[in-house]
Amino acid sequence: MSSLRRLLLVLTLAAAVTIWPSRSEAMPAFARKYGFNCGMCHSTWPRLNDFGQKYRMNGYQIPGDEAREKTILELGGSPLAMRTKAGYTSDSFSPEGAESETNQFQVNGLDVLAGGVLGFNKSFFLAYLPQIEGGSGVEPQTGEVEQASVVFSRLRSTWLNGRIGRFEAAYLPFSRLRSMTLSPYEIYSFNGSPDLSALGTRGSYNPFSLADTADGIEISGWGRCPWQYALGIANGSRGNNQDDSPSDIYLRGAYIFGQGFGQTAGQRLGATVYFGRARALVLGTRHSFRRLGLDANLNRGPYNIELQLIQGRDSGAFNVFNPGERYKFSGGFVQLNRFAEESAAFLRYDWVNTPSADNHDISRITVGWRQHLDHPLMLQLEYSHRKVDEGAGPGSDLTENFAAARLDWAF
Amino acid sequence: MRMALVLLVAALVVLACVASSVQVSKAQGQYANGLLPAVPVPADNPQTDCKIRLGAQLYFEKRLSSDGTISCASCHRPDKAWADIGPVSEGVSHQKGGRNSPSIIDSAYVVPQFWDGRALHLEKQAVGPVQNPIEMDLTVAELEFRLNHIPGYVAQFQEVFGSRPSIDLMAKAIASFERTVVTGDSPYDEYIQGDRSAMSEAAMRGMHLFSGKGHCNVCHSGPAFSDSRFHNLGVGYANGKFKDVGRFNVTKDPKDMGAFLTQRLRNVALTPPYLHDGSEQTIEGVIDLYNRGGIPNPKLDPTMVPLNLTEREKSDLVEFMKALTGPYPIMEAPPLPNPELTAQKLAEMMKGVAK
Repeated sequence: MSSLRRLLLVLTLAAAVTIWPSRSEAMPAFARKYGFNCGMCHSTWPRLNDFGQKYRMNGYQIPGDEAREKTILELGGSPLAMRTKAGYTSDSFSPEGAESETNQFQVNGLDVLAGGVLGFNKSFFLAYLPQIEGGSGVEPQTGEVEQASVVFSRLRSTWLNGRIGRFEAAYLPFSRLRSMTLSPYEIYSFNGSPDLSALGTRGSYNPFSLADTADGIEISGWGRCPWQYALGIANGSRGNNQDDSPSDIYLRGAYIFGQGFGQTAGQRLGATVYFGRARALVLGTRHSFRRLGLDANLNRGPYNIELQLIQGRDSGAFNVFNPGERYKFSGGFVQLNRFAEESAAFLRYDWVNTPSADNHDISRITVGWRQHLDHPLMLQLEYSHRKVDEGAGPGSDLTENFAAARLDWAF
Repeated sequence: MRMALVLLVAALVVLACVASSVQVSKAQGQYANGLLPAVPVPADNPQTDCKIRLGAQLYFEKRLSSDGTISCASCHRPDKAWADIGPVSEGVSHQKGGRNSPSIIDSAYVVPQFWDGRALHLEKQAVGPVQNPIEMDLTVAELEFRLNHIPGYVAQFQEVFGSRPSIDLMAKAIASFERTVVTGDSPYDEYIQGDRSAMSEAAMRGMHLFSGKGHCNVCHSGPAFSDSRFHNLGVGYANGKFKDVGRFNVTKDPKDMGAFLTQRLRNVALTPPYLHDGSEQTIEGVIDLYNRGGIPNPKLDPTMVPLNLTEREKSDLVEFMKALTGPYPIMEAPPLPNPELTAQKLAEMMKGVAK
């Protein structure tokens, strides 16, 4: 059976089992549980609003209503949900001589999601990405457990919550997994290692990427006063061996001005430090690196600005471009969102500045629109232009032009 | 292969549309609303016709107030959707209470009673106002004396309960009557039973907002649109103090400071003003309050967040509120027994007995 047929079979069965006859939206397992629709937790799904962010940080429990939460065993329905995307993708690369182009209808992945309450103030979240071989019209997907975590909420109060397992850590102030854009946050993905696509950057061979979900333990807290914090220990690098002890530590603090939780209301300023150790791909031994970040999430009416600045410094052991010398880079992004009743428009500029000796700076501009067609179904239109400076004069830069029109469906 | 993908995308769209078109009459989920079930009736106070008739009389009985001017119906007026028109109501001697008189429509569906939940059931609620010095201002002894000296009531209590009048039996009769003051068959009810034309487009959008961006059914959940719980919206909080501490008066738990019972929403469009102090004259004003995320205070309910609703969305929510309006019993005061025995006469009789 071809991979496409397998995928079709999975989708059909999943649709039959999961959605019929109930209506389902957003993270549908949660929506079904409460009788909510996606707008309860999402400004434009998958992006969370203030309530959704509180709900997530409260261990997938309605804040203040923890005692009434039903466990997954008490629920009549399934805690499972799925998400898939399909549509038309156009992706072209240059420069001349190294051109390639893709124009096709594609099915873009399948996420199997589950989440719910296990007991009083104990909950879990699972995101499994089944392996998809890929082929004509089907984007390949590496099989992995993207997230599998247990949350212990309100160990004392909202100021002490714990999360253990694999999860998207709080050091990402703007969720990669719940981003509205198809194009990645460059600075989160950047690790300097050779990119497997045609658009490579070179310099550092540190396998750590902020975009990866983390394996570890995180404690976090929030309350009525406008501070939030998170502290975690993680084996943050997928380049580390499984038996390497978790050695990364991160700390994040955020302060919120004005009324709101800093997601879709209120003005949130945050700072993050991350100290880690990763196995240098060339040497095979572990060496240190760090990331420092500042971020702001600003809201005014329907407008929202997301700003992220990150400075990275890797041990010289990672620097294959200039061995022995620390590899320092910086970058970030600024994204303007405008939310309307059933849609959102976004414009983002990403940049990564590599050391002058390396000089493979990255820039990307992304513009797009996300429209609710019906609440389990979104239409996304996006265009993104990415450029990697090759430093060899005009026409030598690596560029990518990405355009997509996709349906995004959670059920 | 490409054709297969086109078919797949088409199938996704069709399935999504089918999913969205499924009727929501089987309201699902812990916080879903839906149709009103049968009125819950406590085992120790079954509904009977003669008890309901007695309860109706007592509900309109002004002799249950010290000066004979106030009855239940004075503040929960049948002609005003069983609510009152002012921010707060007037009791005996034109004294003003501190809280808005809510409608009694569908009060049978919600426990506890009162804005601060100090009475668990209707039977406990009904004994409160008669003894409140601002409202009806009678002692238990005075109340029972009066009822026992109105021959018509003595006979009816005997018939209904097989006993002489008492405050508890009076409360049972009033509670039985209040359990008949229910609504339903609103455009919303018709809609969720399958009549797609019952609600306007705006009301349908409002319904969607109600359980989504508006965050309404986090608290206004269940068929009566109340979770029977207490929430702090910050109403009445100023200069670091709550004008009314609400639920805290009952529990003495600091987390309940400034929290009040979630009000039912059926027929809400008919019962302005709103909030526990009657400080909002319109539904629009209440929605604006929620849209701002309430009034900041140290005990603000954790579910209160600014909503970023557009003007059209606010208007849609109002339309949905209006679509919760259904028929309800409207009645005149029934004939009361022995009208010649006025409150003043009964009070004098009691003084005479005491001497």
